[in-house]
Amino acid sequence: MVGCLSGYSQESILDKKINISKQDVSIAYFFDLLEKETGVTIAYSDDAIDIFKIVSINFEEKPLHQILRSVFPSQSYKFKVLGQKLLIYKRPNRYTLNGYISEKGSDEYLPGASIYIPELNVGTITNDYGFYSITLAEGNHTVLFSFEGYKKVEKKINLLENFDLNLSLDIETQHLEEVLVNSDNETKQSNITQISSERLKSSVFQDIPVVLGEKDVLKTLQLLPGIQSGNEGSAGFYVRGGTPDQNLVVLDEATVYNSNHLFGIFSIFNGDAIRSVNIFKGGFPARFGGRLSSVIKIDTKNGNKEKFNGKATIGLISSSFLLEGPIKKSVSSFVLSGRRTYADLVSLPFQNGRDKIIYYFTDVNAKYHHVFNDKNKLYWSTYFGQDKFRNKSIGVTLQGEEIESTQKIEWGNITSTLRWNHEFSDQLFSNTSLIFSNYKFAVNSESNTLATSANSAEAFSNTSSGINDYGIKSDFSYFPNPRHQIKFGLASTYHNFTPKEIRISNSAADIITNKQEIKTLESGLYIEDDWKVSNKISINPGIRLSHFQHRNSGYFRPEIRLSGAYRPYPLFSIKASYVKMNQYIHRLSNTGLGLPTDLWISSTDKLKPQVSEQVTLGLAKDFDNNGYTVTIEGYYKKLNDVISLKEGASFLGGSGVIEDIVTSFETVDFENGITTGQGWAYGSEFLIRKKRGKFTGWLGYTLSWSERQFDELNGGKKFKERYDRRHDFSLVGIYKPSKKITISSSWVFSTGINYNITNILGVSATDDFPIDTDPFGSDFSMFNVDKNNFRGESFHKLDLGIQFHKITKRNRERTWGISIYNVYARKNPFYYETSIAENSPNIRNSLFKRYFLQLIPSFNYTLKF
Amino acid sequence: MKYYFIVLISFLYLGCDDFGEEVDDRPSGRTQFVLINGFLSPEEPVIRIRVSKTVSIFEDISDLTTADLRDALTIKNAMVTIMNENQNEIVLTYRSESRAYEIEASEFPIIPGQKYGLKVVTEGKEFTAQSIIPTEIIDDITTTSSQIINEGGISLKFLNIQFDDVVGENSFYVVGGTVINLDNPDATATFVDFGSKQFVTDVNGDGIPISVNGQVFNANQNMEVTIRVANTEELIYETLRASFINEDQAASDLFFEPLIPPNNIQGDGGYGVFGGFRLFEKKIRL
Repeated sequence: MVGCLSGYSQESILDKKINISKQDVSIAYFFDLLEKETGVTIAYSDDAIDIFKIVSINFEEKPLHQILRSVFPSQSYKFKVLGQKLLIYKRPNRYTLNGYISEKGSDEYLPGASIYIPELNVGTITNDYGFYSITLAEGNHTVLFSFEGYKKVEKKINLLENFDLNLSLDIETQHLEEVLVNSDNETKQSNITQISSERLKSSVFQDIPVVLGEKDVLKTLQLLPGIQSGNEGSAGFYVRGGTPDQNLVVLDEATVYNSNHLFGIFSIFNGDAIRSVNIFKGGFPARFGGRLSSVIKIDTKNGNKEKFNGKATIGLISSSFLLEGPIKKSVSSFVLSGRRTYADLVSLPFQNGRDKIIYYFTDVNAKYHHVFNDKNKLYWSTYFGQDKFRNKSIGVTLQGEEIESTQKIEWGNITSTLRWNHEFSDQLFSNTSLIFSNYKFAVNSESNTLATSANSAEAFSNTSSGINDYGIKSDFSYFPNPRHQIKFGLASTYHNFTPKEIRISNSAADIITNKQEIKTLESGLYIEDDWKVSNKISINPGIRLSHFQHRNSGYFRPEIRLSGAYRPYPLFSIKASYVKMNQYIHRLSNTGLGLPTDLWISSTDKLKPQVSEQVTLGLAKDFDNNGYTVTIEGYYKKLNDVISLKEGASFLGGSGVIEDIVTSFETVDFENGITTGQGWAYGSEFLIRKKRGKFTGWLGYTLSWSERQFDELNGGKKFKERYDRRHDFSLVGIYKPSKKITISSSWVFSTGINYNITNILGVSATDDFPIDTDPFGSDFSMFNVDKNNFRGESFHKLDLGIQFHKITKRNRERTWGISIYNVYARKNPFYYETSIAENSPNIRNSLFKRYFLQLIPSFNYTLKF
Repeated sequence: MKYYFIVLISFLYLGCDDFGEEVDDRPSGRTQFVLINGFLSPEEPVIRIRVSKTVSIFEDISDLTTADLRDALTIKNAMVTIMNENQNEIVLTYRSESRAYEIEASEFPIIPGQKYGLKVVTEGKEFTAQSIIPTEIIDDITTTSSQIINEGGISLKFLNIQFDDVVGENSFYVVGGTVINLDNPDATATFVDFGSKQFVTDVNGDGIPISVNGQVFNANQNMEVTIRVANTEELIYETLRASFINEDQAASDLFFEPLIPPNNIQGDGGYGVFGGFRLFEKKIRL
């Protein structure tokens, strides 16, 4: 009733028609006149109204609100009646400043660049496509644009309407030491809500030496705390007690299933093609799903839209090239990069006889970027990579016929992504992607009798496994105001697995095929909000609804994601997160090395998805004056329905026997070889990092535990996970005293991993069974009763590298690089085995450590043009 | 230039040293157990339980022959008792010829489907275990064979064994065969090589016929093969399979993870398997 009356009053007073006519009077005088005419008291803020401003008014029988609007024409002025008071106040209009931040000279977008308004203490960062949007009150603002490694730009803007501002930043000359106050404010660890994440620019892993001089993204990531390497030289990695298949590796939105070349010595990612790498170890935002332990998001360059340039590198093991440039200046660009080893080409002339062994790997990245207009951009990127091993030999049968046999092992990935960026409005940005990803591993064996036609194989067998993904993904970013950054979207991927396919033929029979295919659909719908609740508190709540369908069985799994940060004082924050993750596709490994023989399989009605829940607590401190950042985190992760091969299960090796295919009633049913259990991973991580100045680098330390329990393994007892490394320490330094020289080093130490070593000798059990299951076996058997019963020696090594840069007369940059892997030749264990000790006076078993990769120097030469 | 070349070669030498060395560290955990294995079957003429000790594989046993080592490990003074569901029990006697504890099956019949217990007292400790003898035995097998000469000019006979799975239970089978050359019956019997396929289960479906392939080397036309198919308890199956795979894979696969054999012997320091099986046997002519 009161509301109605007051509303009625508001309407009647503001609608009251009055006559008023005055020339050149102050607003204060105008208010006096109104008060007398209407009987209300006018209230206002001195900040909002200049009462000394002179106005002229001439209205006859006009409603009050119209008269007020003529005096205060801006829509930001509001009029409200409360009882006998007429309130005149100003609510400023808000307009959106948006655009793209790119690198000057190349137009390469800069993701994660900071846009900051100091007097309002608000800001934002560019998204993965260099786009930013921030809504501010109308008026004058000083806006700081900054990005690590680039010169800061300050712009004064009078915001009176929505405003598009695209900006290019100059690269900062690297040898200068600058003290930048409040630069990169929005990207400081203490200012971002996200916990357990790091972003690495390509320059970081270009400088860090790894084995044989190759620049390796994944090897560099393994130098960060919480990310542990596998065996010596392996590119497989273990994040917070998880297994390699629990890491989602994404290259330009496409999932990469096997990220290794050369049995794990190198990763498949050509460092020259990469723009940036983001890694998440916990606190996963809702837009990511499908894996339990980490997300590695790798984005490639878009290509220089202003001029052609390139790079060629020759190294000891491989050579690579990069070409990029505009197809149409400022509109479209391309990037093409490739890499190939050449040990096979070099060694072939030296292989005597008719037996030839070759191995090589190659990879190619290509990308096309087209800008239709400011609101529409298209990207097409593709990757092809392959490892090939071939052994060709010629033998002679007892009948004297020559037979040529060829064995080939090959594996590789192909990915292709078509992306469309579209700005629906200044505050709503979207990216839609069509994604294809393929991984295949194949073993071929062929034999020909040379006396007959050499064009058709007399016998062949082909065993392969692989996976094809066809996906669509739409992501939206909505920036309603500086307090909220809302992301939402959906993704759906059709997986077509072929866990095993065998094709066999010989001269006496037709081609026989035995193939298993599994078709599944994995989808996710998510929403998350990076919400600055106040200047001290920010939270990122999110939810992801994930769904997986295999034949008639489906899994619907909602996943809560929540992270938050509290900043009690500037440059310091306390963060926490809780995440739940589901994983529907899995990798089975016989060796734990991440070899191409590992098998990708999917959840089924019998095999439930793996699940994890992780809580993380940490703090982050930025030291503004010298570019140091310190983060300390503790985590606890519980894993359920984790999978493992049953004792003795293996998916390797077809029999090559036709009868196996023809007469066998057995299906290739991988579920029967798998068992499920639970896992625990917990620990703490410490990282101190210096990002600016001539000397940069970091020191990282991890203290962690990782355990598993399976009812069908180890007698149901809990056991230490293979890669349960108690301590992991890394010290990385990059020193650039001038433009001409870069010196880098890394020293790592980690506790040894756990091996399964037989250590017990007993009388064989097979003698008492009426079927001799092991006719060539001995009277004794060797076994162990505890899984992972031996902790190997600690792993540590020092790598050094130096690069000499020179600008030639033709303005090309020439770099000579020398690096030494494992400088003090530490004999880090690769594996252990029991064997007879040959040098002992007595014949006895002993334990031997096998190692390789000691003290390996390498050289490379790079020309940039 | 020569100086740099020598330095480079020196680096390469250091980088390519030995690649292996002996270490003194040893796996953790106990290595000394009382190892007890016993497999009961209504089809076997003798009930045999083997009781022995285990040692660390790193022990110096170089001065022992195989026979000496077997003797050294065998426990000869244990009290070994078997009991049935009706609480009848019998003590087995140690036989030095077999280095095991035995009785004739006629003295203590093993009945399909029944439960049996084992008690072993030795070294001041008591060890027990239980087993249920599988009820069913397979009815029959069918075989097909074909012969080829392989790449090395060796005559191979491929042999396929098929039989119906026992319905209504999870089944674990071990398949084997011995071969006698009828033209030379005194020669040592050879065997049918089933490889890892000698271990087969009904995991692909209860009641689905099971097929196993093997091969006979140096096959001729006048051979007699004794095919044996054992329907075993899961523990026996896993024990034999672990022993086979550990032997088969350890030498060829650097990264092979040895299988841990199962254990149903209760008592501190005991290990092994006490289980039951049914045995089907059939002779065929190749």
